[in-house]
Amino acid sequence: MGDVAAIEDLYRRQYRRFLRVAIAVVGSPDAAADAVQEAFARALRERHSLRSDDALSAWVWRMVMNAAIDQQRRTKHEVSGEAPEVAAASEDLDGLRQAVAALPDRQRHTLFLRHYADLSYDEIAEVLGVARGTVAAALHAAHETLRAEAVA
Amino acid sequence: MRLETMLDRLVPEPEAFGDWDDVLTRAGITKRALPPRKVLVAAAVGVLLVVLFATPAFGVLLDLIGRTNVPFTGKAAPTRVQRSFFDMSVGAPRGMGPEAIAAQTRRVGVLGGRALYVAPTRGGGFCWEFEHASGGCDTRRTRALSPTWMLMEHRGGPLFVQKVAGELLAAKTRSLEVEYADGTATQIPFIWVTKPINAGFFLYAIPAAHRRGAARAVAVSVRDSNGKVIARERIVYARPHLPIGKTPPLPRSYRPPPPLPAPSAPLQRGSANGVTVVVGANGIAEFHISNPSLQKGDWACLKFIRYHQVDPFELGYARQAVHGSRIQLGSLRGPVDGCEVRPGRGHTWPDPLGYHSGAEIAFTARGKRYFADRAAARELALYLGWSKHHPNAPTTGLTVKRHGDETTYSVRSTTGKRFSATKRGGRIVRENVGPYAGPL
Repeated sequence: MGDVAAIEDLYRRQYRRFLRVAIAVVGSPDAAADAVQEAFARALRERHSLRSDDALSAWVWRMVMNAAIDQQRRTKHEVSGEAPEVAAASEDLDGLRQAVAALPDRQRHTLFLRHYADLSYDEIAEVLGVARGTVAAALHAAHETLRAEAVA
Repeated sequence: MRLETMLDRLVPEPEAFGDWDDVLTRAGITKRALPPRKVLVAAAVGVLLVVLFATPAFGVLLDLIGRTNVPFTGKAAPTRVQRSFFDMSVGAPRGMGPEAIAAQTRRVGVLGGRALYVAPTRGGGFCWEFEHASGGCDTRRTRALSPTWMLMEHRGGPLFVQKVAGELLAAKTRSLEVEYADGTATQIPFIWVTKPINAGFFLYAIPAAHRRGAARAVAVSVRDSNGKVIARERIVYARPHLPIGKTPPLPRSYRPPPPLPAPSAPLQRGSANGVTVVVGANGIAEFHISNPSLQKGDWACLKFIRYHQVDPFELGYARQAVHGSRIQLGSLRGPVDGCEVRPGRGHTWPDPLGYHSGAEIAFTARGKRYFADRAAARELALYLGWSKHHPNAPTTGLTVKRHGDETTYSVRSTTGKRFSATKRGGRIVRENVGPYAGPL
């Protein structure tokens, strides 16, 4: 299961969504691109362990998230220096950026997958390995926190 | 503004297409997987080709696998890379820089896990960089193959090469090899970038098995489609012989450079703390120092230019490198925003002036603000550096706020600009002093 063509098709159709979420997690576009490349390479290497092609998308999304989180940990210090490159659009986003960064990991990752990848609650639940209700609760909490920041 | 809109602005949708071939390479898959029926046809053709081409005359069948052709149309490189290409020409004496067209720097691919950036130069050459790894400029295009390598040794053992990187110019190159002392060779991948670059680039980590004397890398070579070697460069193993404790004599052919001309009008003049500086429109700065404590200080001038709108481009000279009272500010021309004399070797921070350099002479309001902001950033950076080793270091002048598991240290410049750094779990997770006080 999980043949090369199916993984390539997923890459070509959804590359920008994978990259956008990875940028949100990592903070640096280049490091994020590297994480996506690594995640897909790993998916290719481990494709035989996938039991059903139905689960391919969530399986690859999980790999991309894990690679991005690993990349973020490795380059945390560097990211803090390069962050302006990602989102230096204007200072009015500084508050939001800090509020997003301060969210608990689960809320932040749920938010990214929902907003930047447009995944459904069920898909997010599968990617993060949590219940659908947990996704809904995490998303609600994240929106509440960020709306308060946006209003302030 | 709606939250969704703000989130969109926070991480805009990237304009990128990915690089599937790079994914395959990273996964160790050198050939595209084909549908079963095509595989059968390909296998039959493959057998035929092996029979036909597996001779020295035709070279190695794998030639075509190592070369990846890419157009010079990748996404724009990050500002950091553009700036590094730009700076090479500004810092060099006029007419001697590579003159890279920094704004045209492109990210053209990934090799060995490193992004490759290239930019054309005004004279028809190019500059290149594998991110955080290796790079250079070639303005004359004279050598068909230009490898670089890093020599390593393990506890006094024999030298070995850890990585090779470089550029190649022969368009007919079909394969690139690293040759080893045991007679074997490895074909390594390279990226060929089309016009206006017209060059190939490579970065390869030598396998652990070839980091030993008897099997270490000895040469890099390129072959054409017939398997013929069209360029070969030997790897030279030699420890540098650096004289310790004495300055080597100058070669007999050495002639001291002619004295620099005087600063030309219109002039900028300024003085502070026993230092007087005159800067000319021709980029010559003349320093006169009457303050004995600054006699050994280093000289520098700064200017806000493209790619340096936050932290100005600074060109400085160590005092030992200065002959006479004048320095040339690379290819910069006046007017500049300021000049300074920095404390020399042996100086301990903080100096009696606080977090300022020994003498700071601002010619413009912007230069004056920069000196003030930099002093504040230095104060914060210095505290953070101290506090790594001295948890109870005094926080004089700093504001400390704790929020959850994060602690934010901040200081406000006399200009009103606020600098801050946030620590979580003993590590800095956010800061904005970098452009002013260097990486923390």
